[in-house]
Amino acid sequence: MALGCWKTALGMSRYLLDTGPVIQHLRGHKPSIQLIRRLASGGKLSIAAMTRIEIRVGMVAAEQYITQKLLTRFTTLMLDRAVADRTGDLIAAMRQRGASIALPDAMIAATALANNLILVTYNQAHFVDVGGLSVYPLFDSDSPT
Amino acid sequence: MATNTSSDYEYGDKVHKITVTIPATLLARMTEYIPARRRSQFIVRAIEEQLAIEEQLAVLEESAGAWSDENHPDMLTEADIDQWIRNLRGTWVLEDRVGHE
Repeated sequence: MALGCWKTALGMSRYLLDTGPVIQHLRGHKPSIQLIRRLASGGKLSIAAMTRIEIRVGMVAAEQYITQKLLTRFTTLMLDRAVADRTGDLIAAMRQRGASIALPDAMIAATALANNLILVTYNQAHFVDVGGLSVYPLFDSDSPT
Repeated sequence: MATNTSSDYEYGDKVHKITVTIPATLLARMTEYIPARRRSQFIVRAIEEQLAIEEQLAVLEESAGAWSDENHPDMLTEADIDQWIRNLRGTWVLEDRVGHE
């Protein structure tokens, strides 16, 4: 997989950030800060609606202004009909194989699939069974663990 | 005289004509592919896209480390953050149960 910052016709980058990298950035984790900055230099980054929800759950009132300012600069991809259908199909397919996936993971994976985006996540193991999903190949220096 | 209307750019405000300096080779590349009537719109779109990147980079700089240790004692380490996300998402896990409708 090429590591370049692909861009769509609308100037949006091809990357969907999972919640982990965003929180790591907000918590000051330097590899995450550098990773997101590198990806952002190629175009606007996206987050799934679920990530926006989770970030809002995690923030405290004193951090609302800067957190909301950051979220506003990302493209938030909504749970539309295509994402909803993909989410349901994905969960059903995994259950048929005897596997399980948390609904937020499925929604984020489906958001990436429906929008043809590459998922940037530190929890790659949770998405390894999702067919067709492109996951950003993190280097050791990018990973928090 | 400005002949474009604001609706050409999906903005509700007035438009302005400005003079900018552009390398001749770059101008030639644009004129080769972009018809004259679309050039203003093309440049506006290019500015919008690059500005969005610059604005995003600026807020990334501003927000890096904005969540303090004091406010997030449950997110002190990378492992803590991973666990926090797992705990939150774990409440959504769908399990097959015998006899469920």
